[in-house]
Amino acid sequence: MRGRRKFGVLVGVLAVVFAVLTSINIGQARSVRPAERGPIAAHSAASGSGAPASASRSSGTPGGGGVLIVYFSRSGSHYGGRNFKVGNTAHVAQFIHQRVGGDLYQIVPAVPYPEDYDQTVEQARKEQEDGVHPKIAGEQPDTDRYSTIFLGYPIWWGEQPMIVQTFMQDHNLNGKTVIPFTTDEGSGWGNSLDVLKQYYPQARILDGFEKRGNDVADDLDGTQRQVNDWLEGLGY
Amino acid sequence: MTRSLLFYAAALLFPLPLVAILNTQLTDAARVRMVISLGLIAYCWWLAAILLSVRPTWLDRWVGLPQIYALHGSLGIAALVVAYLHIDNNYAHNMLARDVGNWAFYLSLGVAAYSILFMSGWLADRLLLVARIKRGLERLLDHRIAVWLHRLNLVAVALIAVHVHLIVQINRHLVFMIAFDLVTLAVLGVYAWKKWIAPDSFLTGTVRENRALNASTRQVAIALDEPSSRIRPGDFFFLRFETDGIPRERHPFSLTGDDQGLATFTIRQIGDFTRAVPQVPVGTRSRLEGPFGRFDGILKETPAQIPLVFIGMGAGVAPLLSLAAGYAGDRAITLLWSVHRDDDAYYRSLIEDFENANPDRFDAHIQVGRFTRDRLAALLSAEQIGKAQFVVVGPAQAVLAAQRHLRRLGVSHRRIHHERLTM
Repeated sequence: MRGRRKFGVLVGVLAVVFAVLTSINIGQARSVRPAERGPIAAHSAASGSGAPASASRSSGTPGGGGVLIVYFSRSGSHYGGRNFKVGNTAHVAQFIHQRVGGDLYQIVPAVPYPEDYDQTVEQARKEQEDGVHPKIAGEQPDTDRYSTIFLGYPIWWGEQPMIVQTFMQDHNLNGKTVIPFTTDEGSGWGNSLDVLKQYYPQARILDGFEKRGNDVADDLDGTQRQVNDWLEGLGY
Repeated sequence: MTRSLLFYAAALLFPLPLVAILNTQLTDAARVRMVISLGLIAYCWWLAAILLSVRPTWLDRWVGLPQIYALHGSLGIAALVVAYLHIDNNYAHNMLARDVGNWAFYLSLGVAAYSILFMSGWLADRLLLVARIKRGLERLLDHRIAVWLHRLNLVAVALIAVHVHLIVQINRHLVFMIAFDLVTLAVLGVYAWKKWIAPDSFLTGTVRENRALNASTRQVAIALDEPSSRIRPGDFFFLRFETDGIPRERHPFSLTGDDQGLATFTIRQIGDFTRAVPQVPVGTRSRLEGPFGRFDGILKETPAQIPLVFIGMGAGVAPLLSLAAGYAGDRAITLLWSVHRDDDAYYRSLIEDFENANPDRFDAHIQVGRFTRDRLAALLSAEQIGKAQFVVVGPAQAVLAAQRHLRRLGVSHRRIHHERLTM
């Protein structure tokens, strides 16, 4: 009889805990709204000819035609308590530019992300959960002028930051050669390659370059050599 | 062998249902899913280790408690390795989720290191230096503290559950989260049932006798309230005395006889619990978890014409006497018993009784000092070395040494069954 009462208490406690956890789970599942993906513009949504002028020395690229290196990179406080004047993805973009030439364009948000790393992470999470596409500052390049786009980004919450997805939404790169590069802190490419394919199912997406952000900062020369080796493998 | 493989396979595949549910829900890239799955596999193996820690008697009869404990420890270590790969290849944006996960990992790592030294015989049974360190530290930390420190693994599991609930990429998947919570609560429920409810259904009895066999060994006889037909020769129980003056944790002791109504134990006084046994008065109520043991099952499967050789060291003779009580007369038995000093041979007259009752089928040798390989070669016949089933029981290092000697004499390891008095 005593054992039966104890058993009843145990089952009751477990049932209550399960009910509480399930209600929390339902609340969390409902709070998430999947983002819609794909370029809105039928063509490249250039809002001007604002591609920054830069030295061009490319010749005979795999994609043919002009090369544009687009990247988003965040400087300031970073993962692991570090502080960078130049973001890790920006370093890689520079290395690509030095080797390939073409035009270089940095995605800059109209409203800067917070200086504080944790606040940025939280904002990025909300943007992704709510499917928010933050505005990009200044004029964007006319991607129609290029046949090959290098697209660089850090991995935030397993994929491209939403500010990069704003660019991807604004520019239809289907039919072009798209070459991704990324810096992360252990997640590798995350889901970003799948996201890229969702935006541009008809693009020719080549093998990209991926490295841990802190490893880039710790060994710039080594990173540049790796970038050059990767580009050489692509035919640059 | 097949049983062991099935047992290990079941434990290794325990994470499969949750991993399958998670992977059907996640839309992430394969690499991301793999890294997340590593964390889930580690968690499930920790849950499986908790399930094994309740030592179900039916599973003991199937594979034996040593195998259960071996898998319990192995899963804990394997989970740490897999969890490390998960941490090293993953990136948690949520700082709190990351920190909670890391706390769980380092807590488990510390508990594992501690448990390998104090709770298992993996190192202490084999390395003299480690055994000495363990003995020295045991004077500072009694067994109860060791057990409670080991239970910190439950805190680690709770932290991992919180970690999972904090990760947005995971907690958005309702079906997985419900399955995850169900499995977690089911395992913790089984553990709580074992610690809180199951003891009510253990065998109970009253201490009828508690006498000194010599300066360091006692014999305790417990009259069971009801005879148990589940008791088999060579079995052991986890014993607890319901009285003050002795720790309340249950400790394992082998039966010395095969009486299903009177459980008799031979207890060597070497730890905090056993040193307090003389203070247990006759009439004390006792609770017995079990019975456990596979010796009887193994011997039953052995054809009657196969000789049996029992090798006991010190108090390790207890389950062998229980087996002798069950099988003397039916089987050809040789009992070899090594003792530290002559007055440690407290069961000499009982063994002589077995010999006198079965002059053709029971043969015993008692000696002071351990059996060397040469001594075993002299005592064992060619038939015994070639065919007999061996049962070896005693202190861990002595058992390992005896196993080594037997193997070098040509006894197949499959015919050597042992019980190491480590716990």
